[in-house]
Amino acid sequence: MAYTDAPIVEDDVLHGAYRGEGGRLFWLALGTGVLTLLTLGIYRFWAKARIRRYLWSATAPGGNPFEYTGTGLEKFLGFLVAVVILAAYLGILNVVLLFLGFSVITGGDPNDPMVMFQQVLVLYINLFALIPLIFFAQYRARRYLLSRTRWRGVRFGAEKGAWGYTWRGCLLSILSGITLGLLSPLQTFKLEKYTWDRTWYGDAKFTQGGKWTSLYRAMIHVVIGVLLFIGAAVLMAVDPQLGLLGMVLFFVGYIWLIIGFIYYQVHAWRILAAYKVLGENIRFRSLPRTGTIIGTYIVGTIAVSLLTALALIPVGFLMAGLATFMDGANPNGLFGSPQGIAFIAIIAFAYIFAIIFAGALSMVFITQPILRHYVEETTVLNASGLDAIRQRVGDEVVDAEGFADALDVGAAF
Amino acid sequence: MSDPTPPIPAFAIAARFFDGQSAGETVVRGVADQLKGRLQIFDEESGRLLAEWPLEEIRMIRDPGFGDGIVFFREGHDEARLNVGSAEDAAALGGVTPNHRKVKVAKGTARKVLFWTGGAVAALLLILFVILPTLSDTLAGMISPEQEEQIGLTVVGQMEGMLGSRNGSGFCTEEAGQAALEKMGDRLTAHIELPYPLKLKVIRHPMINAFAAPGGHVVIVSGLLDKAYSAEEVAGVLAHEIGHVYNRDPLRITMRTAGSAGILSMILGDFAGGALVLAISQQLMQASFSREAEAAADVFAFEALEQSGLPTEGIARFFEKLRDRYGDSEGAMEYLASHPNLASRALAARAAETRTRGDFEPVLTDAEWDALKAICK
Repeated sequence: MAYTDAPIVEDDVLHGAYRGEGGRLFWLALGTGVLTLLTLGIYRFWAKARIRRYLWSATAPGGNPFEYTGTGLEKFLGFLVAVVILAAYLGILNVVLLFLGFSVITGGDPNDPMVMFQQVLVLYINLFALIPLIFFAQYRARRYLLSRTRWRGVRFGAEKGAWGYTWRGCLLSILSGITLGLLSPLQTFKLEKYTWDRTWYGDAKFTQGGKWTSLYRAMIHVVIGVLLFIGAAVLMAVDPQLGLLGMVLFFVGYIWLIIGFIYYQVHAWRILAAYKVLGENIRFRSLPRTGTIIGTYIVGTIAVSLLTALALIPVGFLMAGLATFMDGANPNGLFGSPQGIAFIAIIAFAYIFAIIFAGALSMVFITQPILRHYVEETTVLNASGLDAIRQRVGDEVVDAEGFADALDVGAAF
Repeated sequence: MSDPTPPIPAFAIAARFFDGQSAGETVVRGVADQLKGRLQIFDEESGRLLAEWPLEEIRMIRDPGFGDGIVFFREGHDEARLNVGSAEDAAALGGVTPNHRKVKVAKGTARKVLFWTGGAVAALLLILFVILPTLSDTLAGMISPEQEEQIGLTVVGQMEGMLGSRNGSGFCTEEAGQAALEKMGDRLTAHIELPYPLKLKVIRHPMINAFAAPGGHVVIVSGLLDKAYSAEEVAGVLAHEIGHVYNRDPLRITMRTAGSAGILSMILGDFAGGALVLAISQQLMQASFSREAEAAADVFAFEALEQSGLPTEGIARFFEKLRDRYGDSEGAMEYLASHPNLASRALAARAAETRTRGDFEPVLTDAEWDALKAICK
């Protein structure tokens, strides 16, 4: 397609290479998952740092791996700082908003939709107060991540700018919200430009070029999905005879829309990558495919479910054996007898084990293959320009990505 | 006979070197010399010596994603990187670098962690148990009684929904029974000033319970009337609920709960089994708020009964009945329960008694008591 035709000089390129191995990642994810459980969640910061160190080192464009230098300890300390600030902010905000909300409750019939709407507004308005924090946390987390990433010995970095990102993010979200998503390419583009224009590799700065309107090409399948929805609604309204057809169309539109959103993400990525420049003339070509991403999700989900079910078979036998051993004992006495307690303990163990096991498997069958696809489909053009890039001084990020951890809005890994 | 495979004194490895100053790549030959204890890194093209690393200072980047292309660096000079191409060369270099897996922990790390963790825990406790309760109590005090009555109406509507009826159809409004209930309420509140009039209601449901909602709404569940031995028992429960009304507990507790909502889940994070830990800690915290309020309402009830010339025996028997029916919270479970231990509440009720047994004017006549019992029939 035309928009991916960046100037290609094939003798001066670095091909993205991903060399992660499923087995290693599985044992790493399973081990860190168990440790996280045993420490009541405290180990999760170290777990994340170790998984990242693995994934980064598996990503090796031109044979030279990325390096993740973040530590679990600094993430833990950053989390402590963030959680105290957030607890004070959220706690006070919750109480004050509820107080203000109570002042607007005027009573009335609790079944009246207007009164119900009021109550829901009072109860959930504090969620809206979280949205600016999410933008803030995402920018800080990205800045931390870049400051802890090296490639060929040279650091990445991002300028400070979380507040600017926050208000832009809020404003653009509102804008794309009130236009029913019609302006969401503007949001995608402006936020991408804001972050990448502040991103550095060594002493070389990235620049995001291009126009926001070019992202409309990526929206095509979202538009088709919406049109199918409208068509289904029209059919059902016009003639009840066509109701069944309308239902089918409705279903097709729903699936189309989901695929359309993934298509938008993938193709927006392609277009934006084609217009990124590092330093003077280092460019990128990144051509991930929607079909591969969706296929990975489907196959991965099936594999994870099947393998988890298989792993639970021995637990099932154990429970069946125990049940016959208990032999029709009073089910209310489950907590009373030692067998009953063993039974409950096995169920609890199986439940937690299944979550950790499935988590490790989905790292191997979903997260890693998708990362692999993105890396392998990415090429650095005019790569000899890299030799001229000099080291930059490291950025201190005291709160690490504590805000993102506390709000649970971090990346997939 | 000596060792058949003596250690190789020196060997060469192929690698790529990054000097840490620029992103430029240099193809190098590393010569590891065990006798001299150093690794020399030579530019493959010009033969120039680029760096010399003592073997015991060489570290490997841990958790590598694959076997070849292992990266080494020199501790303390962590800018330069050596990317060893083949797995064999990496293993050989690993074999002569005794400390390559060592992780340097900065001095004073333990003290730093303790300091920050202690500070964060102290700050969180201060927020959850001092600042938020004070703030919510203050703001609760700023809500006007009229406003609070409106809020109470909404809450009572929600309670009705939870007990399975809607639009007020679950409430029993039979006149004589209602009058008996009002009489009971009047006697218990004759000696105190409430911020708003008491609004008493009975709802049809087999549960043995009673609620107070913001703004003076008190709802008695009809199961309690069915199982009560005497009007004094109901009066005791009513006195307890009036205690909540007097202290404005429903509003204060709603606001406190709202204040701490979401904070615990933020602290604990999202991990396998975390939902259980979260549920337990949330229950622990809210229970401590409400146990305090319950204990205060009990004290109020004993005093109100005393002032109204009524015995505490009724409420004591009610606590015992609840204990027999639903069991008591004992041992560690006591900290999870929203109410204090029932046996000790019954004991406290009896200890608060000042009059001799049977020496009181009944709160309701027999006819009134029958009417109240039949209110939902």
